[in-house]
Amino acid sequence: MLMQAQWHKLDRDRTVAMIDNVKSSGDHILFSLATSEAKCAKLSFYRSLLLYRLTNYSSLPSFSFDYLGDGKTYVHLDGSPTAIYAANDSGNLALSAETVLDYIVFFFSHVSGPDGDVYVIEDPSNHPVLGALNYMQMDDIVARHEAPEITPDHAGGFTVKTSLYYLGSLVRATITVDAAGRVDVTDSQMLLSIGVDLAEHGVSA
Amino acid sequence: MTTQNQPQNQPLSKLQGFFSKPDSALPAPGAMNVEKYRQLLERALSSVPTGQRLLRFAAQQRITTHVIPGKGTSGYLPENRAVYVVLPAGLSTVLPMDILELGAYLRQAELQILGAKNPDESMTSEQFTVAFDAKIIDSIAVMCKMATEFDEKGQSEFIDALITSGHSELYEAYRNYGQGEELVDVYYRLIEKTA
Repeated sequence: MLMQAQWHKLDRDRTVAMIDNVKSSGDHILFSLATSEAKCAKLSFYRSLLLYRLTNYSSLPSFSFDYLGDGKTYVHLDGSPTAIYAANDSGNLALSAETVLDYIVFFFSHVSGPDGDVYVIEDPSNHPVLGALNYMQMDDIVARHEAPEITPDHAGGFTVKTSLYYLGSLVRATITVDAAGRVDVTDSQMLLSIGVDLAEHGVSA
Repeated sequence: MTTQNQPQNQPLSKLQGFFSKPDSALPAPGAMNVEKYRQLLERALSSVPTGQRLLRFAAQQRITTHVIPGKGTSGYLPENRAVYVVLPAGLSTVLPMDILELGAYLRQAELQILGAKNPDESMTSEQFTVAFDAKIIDSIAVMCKMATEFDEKGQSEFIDALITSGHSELYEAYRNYGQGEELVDVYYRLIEKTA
């Protein structure tokens, strides 16, 4: 079962410190104490790094940036794999058969595909991004979905077969994750084309 | 809806190897830089009357548009008088939905300046809900209006973008009845369905 992020709100002092820190790293002045909230969550596959989220509630919809950090320094997760790979290379990654699927979900939550967002579907009946589909579409997805399969290799990495939702299609993908956390989609097979791009658009009902 | 078995489907095959390339963090050939992206968005928006009007208002009121590499939603921040547009990594073209959303955020800025403020913590719960829903419905309506204007110029991909991103019922309500009660009814019906 995938880990659900348990968010903890940062207190005022830690929020101020975080906003000051990311301000100085060049992220414009997107967040202020008056309109923003900071929270953090433990990730099962990192030893000492936490996922931080700064949200500015004055925009519609609310405007959030995610960071990986240790409470002193924060790296903005900018949609490319670079920040995640750098965090992995700092010795914080602790992959196991129990955590690798969480890692893949986290990875695709923060890294865009070449033509859009990639969603890992562990349980299609309980996946928020599929909520916009109608009952017939959901029935088709549930019928074709297969549970993830995780196979360790001899070098500390894993091969994971799982369902993905990408560009309006349900896909069965084979994904390798090496010991350093590098992700590679080595095979993908379209199972079903729905034609609804569920990418997170800012203005939505 | 179709069922297919095409392992070499072009968009899917682009996933293979994409995340493991040594240069995957670098802009692909033709990929955007922030300034080019902003210019392309504004140029496209200015090609329809509503977009042109909103850009003119933004210029008069010194509402700025900033592009930031990232993943997630864009938005208008009233305290900064600025629209922030998130530029996903590896994007090589402007997408119709991003153009419509820029128009919606400029419209939010316009409403803010005209006195219809974004919901904030000073409001009661009821005031907050009313302000929130009114702004979202207005944003959807202005996106539908611009998509219709693009369609009248022969660019139907903007309506397609609204439909494929889940706004088909709202667009239908706008097309049939304009920005009136029907659009509001559909909005609340969708909210209830997803609640």
